[in-house]
Amino acid sequence: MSSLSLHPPSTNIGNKDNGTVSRYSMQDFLSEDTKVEIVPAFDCPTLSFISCDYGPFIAGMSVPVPLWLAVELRKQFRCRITPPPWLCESYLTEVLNYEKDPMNETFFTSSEHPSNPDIQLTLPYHYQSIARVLIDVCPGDIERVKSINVILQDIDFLRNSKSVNILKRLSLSMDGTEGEEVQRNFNMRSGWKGMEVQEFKGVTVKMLEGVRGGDGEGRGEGRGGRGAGNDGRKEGRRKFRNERRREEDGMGGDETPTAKPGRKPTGTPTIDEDGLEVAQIEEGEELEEPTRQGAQRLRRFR
Amino acid sequence: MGYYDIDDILMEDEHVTAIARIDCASLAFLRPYNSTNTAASTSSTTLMTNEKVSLPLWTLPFLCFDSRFFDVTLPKHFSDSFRKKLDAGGDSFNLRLKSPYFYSSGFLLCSLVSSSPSSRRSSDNRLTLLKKECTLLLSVLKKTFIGSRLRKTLDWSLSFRDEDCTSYTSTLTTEELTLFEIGARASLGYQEWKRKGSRFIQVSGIVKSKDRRVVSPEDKGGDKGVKQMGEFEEEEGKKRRRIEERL
Repeated sequence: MSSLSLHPPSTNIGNKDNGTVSRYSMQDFLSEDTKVEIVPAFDCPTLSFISCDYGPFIAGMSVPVPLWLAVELRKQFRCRITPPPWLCESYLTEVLNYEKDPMNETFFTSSEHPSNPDIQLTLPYHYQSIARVLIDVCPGDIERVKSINVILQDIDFLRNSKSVNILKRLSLSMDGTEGEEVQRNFNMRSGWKGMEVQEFKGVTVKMLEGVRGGDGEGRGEGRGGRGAGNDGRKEGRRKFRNERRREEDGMGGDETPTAKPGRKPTGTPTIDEDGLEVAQIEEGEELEEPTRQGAQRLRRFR
Repeated sequence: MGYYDIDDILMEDEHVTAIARIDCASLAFLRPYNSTNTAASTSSTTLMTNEKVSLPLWTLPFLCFDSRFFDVTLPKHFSDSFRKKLDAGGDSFNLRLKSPYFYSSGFLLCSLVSSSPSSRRSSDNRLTLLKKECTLLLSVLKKTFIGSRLRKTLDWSLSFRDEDCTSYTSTLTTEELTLFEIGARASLGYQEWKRKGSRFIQVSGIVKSKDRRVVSPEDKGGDKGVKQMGEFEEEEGKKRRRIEERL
């Protein structure tokens, strides 16, 4: 039946049997894959793990390892972590000044490496998680840790309020108050980082689902593409949806199924013998009903 | 979304006024209880032509649109005058008073009307008028949803408030309330993360219960190319011990 999907996605992933975990904790977990440079205080040949080999470790020589390994070794005092190039006061101050400026409506993208002007440096996707872990575990290895902490919190706050403004501007453009350029430029890839994605994706998806309206009308508009504005909106939504799908794949797809804005079945609704409207599903169509009952019921009509 | 969705079921129970176009046998129970129909030919079992009844949305496909036994009119909160008011500024209205499923029922009505087969009879103006009204209604509904009401909701839900928001949320329809809850939960979760840090991530139930799995002697030798999950864990543990010894 055509309607908005009204189930709110929770902030926890996983079902009750396996234990739920906060999405934000999951982002912390995923961030631990990023590589950092460490200077080990021990000698060791190459260590082989399931995913990759790390090493060989030679005392005094810098070696790249994933964050989880670096933190473990640092906790045992077997290495010194070199802070990543973006975790320095000058770069973060530059980011902060960009975000503070009310003229800049988009997020900070990239600028030159502070010491090496040839390299472009961007804030990594999981910058909040990585910064938090590094500041917790090895504050001594980072220069001017306290001021970096303060700057990072300011950056978080500013980006947060900017995100809400972006959503508001998107809504302004969709209800006709502002122009439609916002829709075309609305691209999550160039803006939001890890934690912000988790915070705002639920709301954004619900917004765009609401604009689609009922089944027949919304989809018809999207496919027909009656104007440049519609295409832009479709593009933004598709990019957003792909972004979300990629995110969810990264988490192992344990998310509660109702959170996904899957495609609704096509075909004109028909009436079956109970007098109820039943959507016809064509072969190969991705189904929205994730529950077992729903899947069983829909399988009958294939 | 779907057959078992309780919100869908409740939404489809919204009522619209319909007028019977023909005499309907055995449908007299649809007559409202306090009906003031004093026609001499009021039957006790048959619903007479031009009698007004109140029909739920789920009956509309087969009573009004596919078969044209009843003529449906849009409810008052979808009428032209209210649409104009919504266009002017929607954020001050208590839409939940009008209908708790304002948007969903509106979208459903519009899709039913637009997908109903057009009558071949040229005298059937009512349906064409209804179709025109519904196209206008659809655009107004979408505009209202994404408009100033949404911006106000975003403000309220995404701004880390500790206070009681029911003065605002009591004016929201169910769909908007869902959006509000998502935003509020997300921002609360973020605040919690900032304060407390990461929560402990539990081992998945599949891995936890592997020891309780009954493995027969034949199974162990089975797939030589693919290692059992338990063996992976053992090797991992051995490697970890080896690393620690070396270090």
